[in-house]
Amino acid sequence: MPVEINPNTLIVGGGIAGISAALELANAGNHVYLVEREPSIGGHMAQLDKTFPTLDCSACILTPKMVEVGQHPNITLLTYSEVEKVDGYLGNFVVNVRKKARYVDEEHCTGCGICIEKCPFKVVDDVFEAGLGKRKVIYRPFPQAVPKYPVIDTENCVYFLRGKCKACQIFCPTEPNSIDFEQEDELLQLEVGNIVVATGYDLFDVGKIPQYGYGRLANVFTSLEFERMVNASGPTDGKVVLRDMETAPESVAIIHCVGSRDENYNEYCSKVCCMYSLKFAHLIHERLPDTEVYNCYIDMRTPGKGYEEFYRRLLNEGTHFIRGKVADVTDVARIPQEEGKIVVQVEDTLIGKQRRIPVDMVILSPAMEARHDSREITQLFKMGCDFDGFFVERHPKLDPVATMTEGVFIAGACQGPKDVPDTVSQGAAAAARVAGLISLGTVMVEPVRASINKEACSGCRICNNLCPYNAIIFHEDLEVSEVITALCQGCGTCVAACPSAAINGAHFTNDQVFSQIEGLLWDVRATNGQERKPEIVAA
Amino acid sequence: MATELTFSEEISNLLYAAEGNPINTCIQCGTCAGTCPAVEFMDHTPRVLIGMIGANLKDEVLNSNTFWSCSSCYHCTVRCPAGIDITGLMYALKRYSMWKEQYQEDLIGPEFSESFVKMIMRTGRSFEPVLAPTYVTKYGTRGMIEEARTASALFLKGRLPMLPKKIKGIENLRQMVKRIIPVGGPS
Amino acid sequence: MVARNLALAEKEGLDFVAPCSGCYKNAYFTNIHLQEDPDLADHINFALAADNLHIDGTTQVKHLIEVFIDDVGLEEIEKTVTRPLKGLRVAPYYGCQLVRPKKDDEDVENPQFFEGLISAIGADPVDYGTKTRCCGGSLIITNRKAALDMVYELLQDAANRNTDVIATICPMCNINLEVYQRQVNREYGTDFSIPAMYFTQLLGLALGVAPGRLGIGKELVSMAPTLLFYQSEQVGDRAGER
Repeated sequence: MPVEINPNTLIVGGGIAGISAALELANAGNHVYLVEREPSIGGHMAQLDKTFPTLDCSACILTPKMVEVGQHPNITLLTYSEVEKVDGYLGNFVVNVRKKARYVDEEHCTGCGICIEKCPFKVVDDVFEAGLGKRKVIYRPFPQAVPKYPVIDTENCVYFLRGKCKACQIFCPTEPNSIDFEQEDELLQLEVGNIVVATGYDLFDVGKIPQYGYGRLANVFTSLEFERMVNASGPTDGKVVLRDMETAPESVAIIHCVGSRDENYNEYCSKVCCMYSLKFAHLIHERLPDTEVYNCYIDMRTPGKGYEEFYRRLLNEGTHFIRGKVADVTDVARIPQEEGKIVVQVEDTLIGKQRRIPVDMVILSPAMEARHDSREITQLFKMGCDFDGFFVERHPKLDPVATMTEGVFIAGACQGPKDVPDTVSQGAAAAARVAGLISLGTVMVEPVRASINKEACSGCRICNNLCPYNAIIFHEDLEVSEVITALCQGCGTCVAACPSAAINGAHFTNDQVFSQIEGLLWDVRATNGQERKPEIVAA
Repeated sequence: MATELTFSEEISNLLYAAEGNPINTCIQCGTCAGTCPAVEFMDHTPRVLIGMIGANLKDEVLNSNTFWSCSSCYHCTVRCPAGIDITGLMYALKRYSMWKEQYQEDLIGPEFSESFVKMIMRTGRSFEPVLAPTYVTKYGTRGMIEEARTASALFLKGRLPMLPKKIKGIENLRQMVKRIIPVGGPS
Repeated sequence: MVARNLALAEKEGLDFVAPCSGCYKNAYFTNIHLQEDPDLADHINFALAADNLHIDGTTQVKHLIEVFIDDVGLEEIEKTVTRPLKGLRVAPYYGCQLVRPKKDDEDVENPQFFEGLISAIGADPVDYGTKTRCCGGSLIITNRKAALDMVYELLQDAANRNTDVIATICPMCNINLEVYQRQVNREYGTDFSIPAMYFTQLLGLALGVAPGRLGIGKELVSMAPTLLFYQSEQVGDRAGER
């Protein structure tokens, strides 16, 4: 069955996976819509300081890519936008996108930043600065944001709350004025042939493990807080300090496997935590050479190019490695040396003794988790997700970026925890798959499809909900269901489920299947117990 | 052909059946030993003990004081990332050790367990003034004096009764226990 | 043994309430195991038949505090309180076996229901990290030193956070924290004097029950400061100080 492929592609998620896929496709001459929920592209990578194991500055390698996306003639960038609805099928998707109001006119705004400077209100930045720093109410998440246009946070804007202020509008130098308090959400409808979902990950909520003291003990930090802290453009200008924002710690413990490799939270190994914990240890040694660093790990997992070498480097740098999963982080002192410190209680399994390590600062290395709304995303794009919420690939080895739905691909950490190099590879791989389909122009799809006999259909609607591809619609007026042939993947679920036997799979009707069985068994019946050599009668 | 059970299998069989045989899933992370409030009194940490069970070091395990030092607080059990009921395992080892009559000398645990059970069989209740003398001699002088001071203080406040009371139907209880023991083995 | 007790309750068609965490834990899980494992139930019932008893596992097993919180309800308690313990800093001590092993999806590390009860009687719950740590109760006989160590850590944490009273939900924890406090003081050279009260004693005070009837006066760590506080009408002032 031939299907034409619309050459435009939708990419959902503007992190490094989405950016890679978008650039590959756009550079090959295809048009791309890149949709991002936040006001800027860049994703988690933009928040990181250095990247392991080579320690190149994350922003330095990412920013050029972001700029390229922003300026690319083949890329339509839709930030601060969300996909609301997806209809259609391979080659012919129709996607509704809500572009949220920024209250800034992108056509006239030059991105000069005067409005941000003049805004008199600051709030804690829970997203980009991980709660460690503040931002203005009209803001760009970070200086290198793409696009450069700011956005007004209406939940905290005094004008939106009380109808007064307008400082941003008053000081905006553009003609006409770019601040538009009347701006409304825009609803766009895009027609695309393929979709790449690259929605990324959330970090495990460390508050779920109260014995690690996050929130109760001030100097327990999350990995993301530390990334921002150690970043030269972050809230402490790159200084490693305690929560008072001035004292340098004399000792730091880094706890691996927070919320991973644990039945009580996530069973899987989150893959990247060992490496970024090592990176943290290195960065502390670099900035505070006299500070003692303890890495508490269960197993050191460093498979990757140059990764084990990085571990050795840290061993040389004098990091204390303690093999044991930390049990408790407490401020209850037992001996005078523990007074005023945070005590990390752990079994050092290499010597078989419980140890209590007094430190000034604790960094928790939480697991990567599927996005909290990943199940809703799977419904939107008609994909599957596993028990942990990560999207399921078509084949775990041989088809890692395709999904069970034709024309929908996945890339990056939304499929499972992975580091930057793996994520970039997957973005490129997904792009290659899409580019292949585009260059074909028309593809043949499997002819095995279900169809419903309207006369026999009782209108019970059982099949409607069972169909994993949402390919069955119900005609209210006729009170019968119908299979949309282009969406149907021929899985046969509805055929088996129909109580009136009104659904048939093409080439797999009951009569055909029974005839095949009869054909296969004809000689068994014919010999009836007599010894006879089996032979192949049909292939 | 019946093969001999490994020590690990023997112990696993003593754990509550519905939980399967989870000792093998231990990843030796040390959460149990890190959590344990009594670990400094153990000659092997619980994690090491699990390793030893896996290595079939039966005598070393039975002669360890680890499981007799367990305070049954279940903190390791709820935190274990591999879902092992470590506290249950400690109980299983106590039962096994009593059954085989193989345990470290000078421990109060085995003796106390025995006199406690005897007491229950006699009256159906626990009664401290009769129980205490069976184990308190092992405390050493200092501990004995401490215990005596505490007991007399409690007695003066009217919180220790003089005589044990029997429960109703103690004979029937004894019958019940007889029906359990031969069938259930050491448990 | 537990099954026998449960069977006695079942025979009368009553709920089974335990005032002690250990008893509660044993009864609760015995009940569950009997419900889920028919082979075990058969075996146990064979034994119980010696006393003409039988068990189906239909009894509801509850801890005494659950009766107050779930069956009576905090709102009802709040309404009945006549002498709210305003300003009294009460450390809720959960101990081990009330919240562990894990039942359904309860919070085993940082439960909150006891705090709710303490607030309901007008007192201030103390937030401290060791509230679910073990008191060493089951080791006090077999490994006295280990148990005293645990008691010491709990008392230290409670003392660091200006605790007036430790409230317990288990008589054994209560004995360990209270009766052994003197031994801890002698062992570690400390001078702790934090009364430990079973939660119903505090509840009784708030409801206006005479202290004598609550067994107050039989303790080894004097509850006098608590009582004094309770009898003084300066509760408001004291609350203001903090």
